[in-house]
Amino acid sequence: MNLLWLGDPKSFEAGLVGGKAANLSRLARLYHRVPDGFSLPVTVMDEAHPLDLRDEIMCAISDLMACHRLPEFIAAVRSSAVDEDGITASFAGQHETYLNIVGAEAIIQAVTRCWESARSEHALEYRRQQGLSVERPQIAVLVQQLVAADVAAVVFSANPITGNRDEVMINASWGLGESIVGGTVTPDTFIVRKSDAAVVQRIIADKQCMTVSVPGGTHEVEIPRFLRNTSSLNDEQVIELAKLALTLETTMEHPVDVECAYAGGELYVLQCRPITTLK
Amino acid sequence: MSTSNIQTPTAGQPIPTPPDFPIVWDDPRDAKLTWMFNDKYGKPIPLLVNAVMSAFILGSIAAFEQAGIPLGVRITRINTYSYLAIGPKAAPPDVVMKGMGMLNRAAPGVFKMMMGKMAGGMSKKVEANFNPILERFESYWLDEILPEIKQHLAYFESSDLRGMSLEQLRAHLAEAFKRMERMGVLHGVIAPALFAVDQFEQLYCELFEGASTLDALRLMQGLDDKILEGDRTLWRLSRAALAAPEVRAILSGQAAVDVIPALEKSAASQPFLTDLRAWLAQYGQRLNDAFALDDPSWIEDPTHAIEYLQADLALPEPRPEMESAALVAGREKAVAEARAKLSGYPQPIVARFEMLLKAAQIGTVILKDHNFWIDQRFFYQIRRIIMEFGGRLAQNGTLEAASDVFCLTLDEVQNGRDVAMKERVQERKAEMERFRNVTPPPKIGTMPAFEMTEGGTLMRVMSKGELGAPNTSPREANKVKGIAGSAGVVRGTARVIHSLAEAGKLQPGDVLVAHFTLPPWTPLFATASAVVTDIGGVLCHSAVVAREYRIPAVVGTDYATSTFHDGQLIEVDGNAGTVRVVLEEHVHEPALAG
Repeated sequence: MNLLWLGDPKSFEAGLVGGKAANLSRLARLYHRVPDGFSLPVTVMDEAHPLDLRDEIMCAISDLMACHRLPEFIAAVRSSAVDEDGITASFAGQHETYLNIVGAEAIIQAVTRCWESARSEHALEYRRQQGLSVERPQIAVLVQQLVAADVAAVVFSANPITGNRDEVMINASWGLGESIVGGTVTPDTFIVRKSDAAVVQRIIADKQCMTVSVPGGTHEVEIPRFLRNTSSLNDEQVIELAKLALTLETTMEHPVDVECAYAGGELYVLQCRPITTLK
Repeated sequence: MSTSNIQTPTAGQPIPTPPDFPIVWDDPRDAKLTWMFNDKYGKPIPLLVNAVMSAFILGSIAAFEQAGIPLGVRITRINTYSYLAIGPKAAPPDVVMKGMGMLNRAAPGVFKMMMGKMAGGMSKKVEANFNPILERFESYWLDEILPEIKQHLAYFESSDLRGMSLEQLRAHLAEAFKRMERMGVLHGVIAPALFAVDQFEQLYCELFEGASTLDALRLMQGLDDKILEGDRTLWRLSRAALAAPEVRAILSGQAAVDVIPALEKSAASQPFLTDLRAWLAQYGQRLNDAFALDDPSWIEDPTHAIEYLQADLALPEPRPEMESAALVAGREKAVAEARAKLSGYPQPIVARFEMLLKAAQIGTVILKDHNFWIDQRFFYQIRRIIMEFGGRLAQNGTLEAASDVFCLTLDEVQNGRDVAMKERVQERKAEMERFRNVTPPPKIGTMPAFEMTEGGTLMRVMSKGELGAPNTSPREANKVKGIAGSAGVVRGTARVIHSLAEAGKLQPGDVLVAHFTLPPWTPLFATASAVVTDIGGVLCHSAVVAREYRIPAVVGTDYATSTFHDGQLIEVDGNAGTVRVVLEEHVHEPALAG
């Protein structure tokens, strides 16, 4: 068995599946609303070419489709360096992310591209600069169900701007999280006081653009005018997100930033990392 | 009609009148208002028709009030022509209006901002009023508006006019006027209908980069309505006529007016005649023009229906049913493509798209069906009542002929006998005759102190319908620019048609050039290769029907009927919204697709 399912205790080990997948696996144990998926651990990616894993990947995807009663499996495929998402160095985005990959064939292709990119000159140079091993790129690949987010949010269990640890800050906007993370949209901002879970500030931004799924990937488009100045979250959701961040902070014993999405009214946790820049 | 060469009057100043149109104001205060020629009734309007139209329009305006826009509308008849003054219901005092005019000249920037704010405020009101209606538009139309319209129609249909005493008939007419205002209110359903299509089109163009208005309207095409149903069943009758040699011989050999008498004499034509009469009973409850109450309905005079049947005989298969299948397929494809594209979009966007799609589709049908029920059937009923009066007044010698009743005021009709009635009718007829060849000025009274530069949502929405918007393109000698109403490029011989009475000159392949068109004109669209109009927006009758008949259309050109004349070879570009003369004199030949 080369693949490791998210939530499998074996994938708690960052050295094997990468920090992101390890975090998500722990999350998946705590919350069932982590999009389902599997990892191709470092050991496997080291020894085999993704095409050798073809049958196994196919089999895993048909299991996921059967399990979640999906007509089609739509995936996010991400590579994760084993030393990524560690406590001291956060360099998400150094490797590859492929969103809205539909069907087993396309997923296998995306995994192959992750594998190749980890061996690219650009990636090796980066590792050199960071003082990391360049002999073995040490990447794992995570294949995870893509959540068709209506609203994406990034929740900080401490205010990353003021450093105030008594409040939770939430950034949220329409569509997939890429426009928030990439800084192309000014998201709505909500501040929640931890002591009494009160929403103390709401700044509804004029949100111009959003990332949506399009065949073969994602695309950034303009938000239609009727929705631009509408709050992307209601108070109930703001409080739900704040409470989630507090729980995760407690579990991780460190202030965290959590990437979340609401899809069809359900809250999904997409990623959880320690805040590395906190004063 | 030629345009007057009077100089543009200045804001806030009296509008000079042409010498052949001297104005005496009944109330001198009326001279302070800006009156616009009501070109929906382009001819001198008989007094009673004007009374009906006024009652109905006042009702329509009440519908705007319900939508949050307190419009004040006055209707008057000057030199036998109908004029409208539209303004805010509570008109600001003169001094405020003057102040606004001064501000406009002194600080146009500030003025523009103020106008923008006002328009923005009104738009918000309109949107707040209409959006909840759109959410339940189907039920609003099918369960609230339409049943009430049908209820009023049933009331009129079931009344036995012949059996009524004069007293009863007078009470019935008073009741009819009461219900007329209510019908005007119900007719106001076209405002949310236009709003629905407008909102859908805006969202569609925002969501799909590079999409045009016509692309958005493809998702509304091929929907069946009562007007199309009438055209289609008439078309089927023409196929039945082709299959029956006797009927075919009569239709192709006789003048339209002689067809029914000839059919009556032909034993073999009886089944066809029965079907034709059934069609007329169902779809002949229509008038030839907007408020053309003084003209016989198709039930009374089926000549136009026969002309259409005769024209249909000459047309090749397949029309128009096959085409509607293609339109439906095109619509479903466009809807499926849009949905596929939106599958990865946030739910609020998908939900609004679906809501507006449904509302716009219903709105599109309402834009046609309201005409069938109100503009055709209801006014047919009003004509019946008035003609019953006319018949009685002619019988007792008060009037020369039954149709002279339209030259009376409502009060004169209600209050009966008058020895001088005949002379009065003759004077009034003579006055209308005198003004028939005078071009009524487009505006009379006083120019507004300032122009409403920002009309807001309601003005934008209404301008997409029959009203259209003023053309901003400069006037040229052999060319007009308007709104692209239906895609395609075609060359054909121009035929300027002013009324259905002239429709006979339209030959297959000709370009129909008209001030505007109305539902009784739709069968002409099967004969024409393209349509060009003076007024109307992308959702006006001409544009909607041209898309259904898949012929190019350019609407709202302002000048088409005064730029082109019969016999010119013209090119209609329904994509660019332009029409130009290709050849000055042109021997007729079938249209060339460009």
